[in-house]
Amino acid sequence: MKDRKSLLILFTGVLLILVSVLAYIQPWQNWPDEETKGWQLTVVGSDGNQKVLSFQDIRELPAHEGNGGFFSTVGIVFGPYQAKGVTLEELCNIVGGIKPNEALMVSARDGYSTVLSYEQVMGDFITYSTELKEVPHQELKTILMYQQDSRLLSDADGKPLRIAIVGSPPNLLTEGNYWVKWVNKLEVLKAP
Amino acid sequence: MQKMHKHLCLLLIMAIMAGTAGCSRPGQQPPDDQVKLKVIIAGSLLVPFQSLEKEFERQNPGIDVQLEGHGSVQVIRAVTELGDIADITAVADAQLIPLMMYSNAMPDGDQAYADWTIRFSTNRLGIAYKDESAYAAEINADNWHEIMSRPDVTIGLADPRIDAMGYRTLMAIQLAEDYYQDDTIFERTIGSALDPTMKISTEGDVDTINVPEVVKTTQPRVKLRSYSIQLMALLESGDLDYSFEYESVAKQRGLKFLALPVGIDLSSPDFEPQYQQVEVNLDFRRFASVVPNFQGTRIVYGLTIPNNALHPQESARFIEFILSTDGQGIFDQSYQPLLSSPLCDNPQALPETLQTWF
Repeated sequence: MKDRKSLLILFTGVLLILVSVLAYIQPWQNWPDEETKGWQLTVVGSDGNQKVLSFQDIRELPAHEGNGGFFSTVGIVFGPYQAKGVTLEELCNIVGGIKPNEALMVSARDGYSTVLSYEQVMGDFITYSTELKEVPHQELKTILMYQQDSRLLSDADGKPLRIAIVGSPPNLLTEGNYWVKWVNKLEVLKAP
Repeated sequence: MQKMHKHLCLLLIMAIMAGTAGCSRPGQQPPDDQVKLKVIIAGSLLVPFQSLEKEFERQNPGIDVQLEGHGSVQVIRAVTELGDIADITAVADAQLIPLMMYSNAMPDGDQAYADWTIRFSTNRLGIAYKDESAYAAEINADNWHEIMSRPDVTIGLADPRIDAMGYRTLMAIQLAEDYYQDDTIFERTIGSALDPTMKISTEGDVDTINVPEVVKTTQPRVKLRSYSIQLMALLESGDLDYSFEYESVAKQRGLKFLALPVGIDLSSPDFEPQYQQVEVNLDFRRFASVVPNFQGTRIVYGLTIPNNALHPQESARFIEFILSTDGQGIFDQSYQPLLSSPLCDNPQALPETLQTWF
């Protein structure tokens, strides 16, 4: 009888631990929803060559992981985050690559766009400490992020694809206007 | 056996504690009955609005003012394109409200996002610097462009593609050429340090500065940053000698401020025709809803209550407070000049309590 009681307590304990672990890691956060599954990223090369990639296509490309954050126009700091995605260089290579003097226009679902120079595509940015002081950096990469802090992005964070600038040392910040949310198009612009 | 029981009970307690911890979320607050007034404002208004918030909440304990600062275009896009519900929007360029909100219908009906603007404050553009800045003892309203062209002087430029301060800086420098009758000022101060150079075309009386898609600096004496707030940080740390800035922002940060002639500083209604002789054209569209062509105008701040605001009555009360003597005092302390009398383009559409002001 006592053994059965012990077994029941043990079973309940294990079950609760399992529920707690699930509640903590929330694996369903990494299950893409319908919008994410149907998302399309159009990549256009400087010769007009165009490829359309699904979210799954992007996840199957070689991934780059790193740490980085950003600050807004008024100096509010967001992150730093642990970001995972595909480098913009890798994505440009799908349509013939990007050359020095060319640029990359990044467009988003909400009509926002920004233009990155070749150097910025390769990760050349001024970096800041979390106190917003300019600080030197080592290697930086500009990526199209699909996972932030081990989770798929929420809509507020730019679901499903957002530009992120990551590198070392950790906890570097860059200017927020480059962290474009809801990215749906990358277009290599010819040299002027 | 008893020992095993103890261990199992302990395990169960730990599991329950872990489960509880897993379910809780940081930052959860018990609900209260305070009205949360969401006020989205231009970054340059943050200092006076933080003081307004404090005093207004003291006088109105049932209202919690929640400020959110952005660049002016983003303030409006937050409401019209990104689905934020704001009780008040306030921007550094009053023209943006009619441009982006009057003709833009809300999703569930024909009503526009806003149908009136109160023009309430102004500012002026000048040069921020420190006592330690190179040639600080020499600089004045006549020779600033000569000092800012020197190879051993570092100057800041906010990115005109990103920050209104950036394109207003270009306007001021171009206006200076007419004012001082010297057509080398733009090239000497910043033009020669940019790649590609910004082409200036003239049609009739209007000079148009064309900003390319990508702008880089080629000389370390000119530091280009996305936002003017970064330039202020560089000035404070001694990494920069001079940068254009609003008078209010420079003084709020304890920096020295060189006032420029009114024909350049974008502050005077009397000089509006001169200001309109310069415009900045961006070679790419950053926001689908904004045509990237900016005409020189006097700096005037505007605000409105969006038609989908959750708390229009409380919003009107907050605006009354801004316009009141108490509000004026706060603006004075923040070096942010209020217009001598606020203006409204459509007073009949205002909430009743505000109509008495116009």
